[in-house]
Amino acid sequence: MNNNLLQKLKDWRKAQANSEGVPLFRVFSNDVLEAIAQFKPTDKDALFLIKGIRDRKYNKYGEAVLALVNGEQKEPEFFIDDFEKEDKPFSVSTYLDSLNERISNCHARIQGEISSVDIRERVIYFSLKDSDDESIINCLIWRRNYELGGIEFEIGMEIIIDGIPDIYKPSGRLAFKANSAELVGEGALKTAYDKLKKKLSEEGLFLEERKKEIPDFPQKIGLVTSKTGAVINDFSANLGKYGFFVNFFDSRVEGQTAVSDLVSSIDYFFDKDIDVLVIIRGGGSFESMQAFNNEILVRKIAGFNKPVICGIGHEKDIPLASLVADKMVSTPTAVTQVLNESWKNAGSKLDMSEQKIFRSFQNVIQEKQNYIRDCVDKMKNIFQKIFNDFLRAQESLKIGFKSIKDQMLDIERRLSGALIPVFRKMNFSISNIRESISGPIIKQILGGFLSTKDKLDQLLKSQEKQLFNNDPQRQLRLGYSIVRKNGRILKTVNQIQKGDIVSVGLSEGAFDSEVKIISNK
Amino acid sequence: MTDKKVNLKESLGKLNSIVEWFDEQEEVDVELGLVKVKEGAELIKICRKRLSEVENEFKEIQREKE
Repeated sequence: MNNNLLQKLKDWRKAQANSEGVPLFRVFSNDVLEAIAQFKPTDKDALFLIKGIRDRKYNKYGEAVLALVNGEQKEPEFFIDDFEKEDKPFSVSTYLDSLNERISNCHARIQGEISSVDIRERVIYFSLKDSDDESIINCLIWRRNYELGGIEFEIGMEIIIDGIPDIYKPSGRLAFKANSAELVGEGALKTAYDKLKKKLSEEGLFLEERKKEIPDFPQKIGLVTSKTGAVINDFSANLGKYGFFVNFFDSRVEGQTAVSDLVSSIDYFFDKDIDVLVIIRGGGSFESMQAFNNEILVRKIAGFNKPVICGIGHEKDIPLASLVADKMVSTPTAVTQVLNESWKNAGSKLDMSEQKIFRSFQNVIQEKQNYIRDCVDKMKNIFQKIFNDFLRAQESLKIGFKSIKDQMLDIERRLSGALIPVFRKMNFSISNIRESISGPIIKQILGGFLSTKDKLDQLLKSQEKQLFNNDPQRQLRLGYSIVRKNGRILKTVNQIQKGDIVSVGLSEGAFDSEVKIISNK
Repeated sequence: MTDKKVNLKESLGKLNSIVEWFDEQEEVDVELGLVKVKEGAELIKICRKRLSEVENEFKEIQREKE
């Protein structure tokens, strides 16, 4: 990779971002600049092969980037040298362009005393005076960078500025374009710190009541710190394994560009889905903490829409960023403890809830069991009483029956005693009666009965003889016959007519006969 | 990976309301109590699962900030 070209691209990007008043990455990311420095695209097609450059970026910056790349490739043949070789005069503009190109490499930090200040809408013009020989350099700083610096310029204030020189073509004046400004000396820094602290405190920015509560079970963490150094490792090592999603924004935490980085990070996270924003930095001197005493940063934190935890190591004076944060701890590890706390507590809370629920229900069941046992006992008592009553009744009945039995036996005994003489008398009377009727009375009755019987026998024999004599069968056997017509016995000839069929019954049989002749006597 | 569907705060809140329910009842209906116990046991199971060790994920924002 061509580091010289990369530096030029970065310088160009910085100037471009300043002129647009936007963060550097809005122009091009480091990756894009590094790819350009590596592949050195010389035309549009080659430039389009670099990831991150499309029509919009090309239309805006393509020409400038290609000019830088192509210019770089021409080195070390300098533009001015070309003119000198050809002995050709420069135009003023061309000369100033070539000068500006050359001096754009003269990046520097300059320390001096402010000797004049002119604050305009978009830019602040000022001059720095050398404290030894009173040399003066004209300077300017874009308002955005001025505000990021957090220093209110005053004449006589000693500062260090960082930037590059540039000749302003319309006036031909050289001005040092400062990207940042910082106060010099701990005393001055302390004074500025106290002043700003007082001001913000009076506004109520540090009041507890305006601070947001750190939510329980934070999961999505926005993390702002430098990716170099031990802090981020301490943080990740101590963060409990509860499935945190940490979106890490690499930011410088010390030096001139720290404020810009920190502010960008807060802007970045403003509309992102996070539960809490964490800003951490290890310990350091008061001077090294200046980024965290910057007014813009402090106000950004105050106005952030999610809770902010600051874990910034410090000595005596607490960084103003920490004071304004919703939760302030003094080390990055302590931040992890804040984040872990609710998760850790959840376990014991869970145990307690489990115990409480099951114990409560166990008590309920126990109560019901007791109730049922009581009911059973009561029922048992009632039935036992009934049973006892029954036993008592049974016993009483037994006694009663025994008593009745005894009484009956007694009655029987008494009755037996009383009846024996009666029966004896009765027996005696019956014997007497038997004796009295078995004598003449019986003889008389039997005599009568036998006489009647003999009479009846004689009558029956006479009747039998009479019946024998009159038996029709006997008459038939003697030669008589019985004539029937239609089953009826005929007694006279008047009962028949000529032609009638009559049945003539004889002994042992009968025959039918037709009447042919009727003769009357 | 984290079970994103489990909202631990919400689940613990529900669990807490079950605990409070038992506290508030002068006489607990056994059937209803059993329903609450079952619900509580399920919540405890879910919460325990969520509280078990889950690796964190670090993702660096791809933005330039120089």
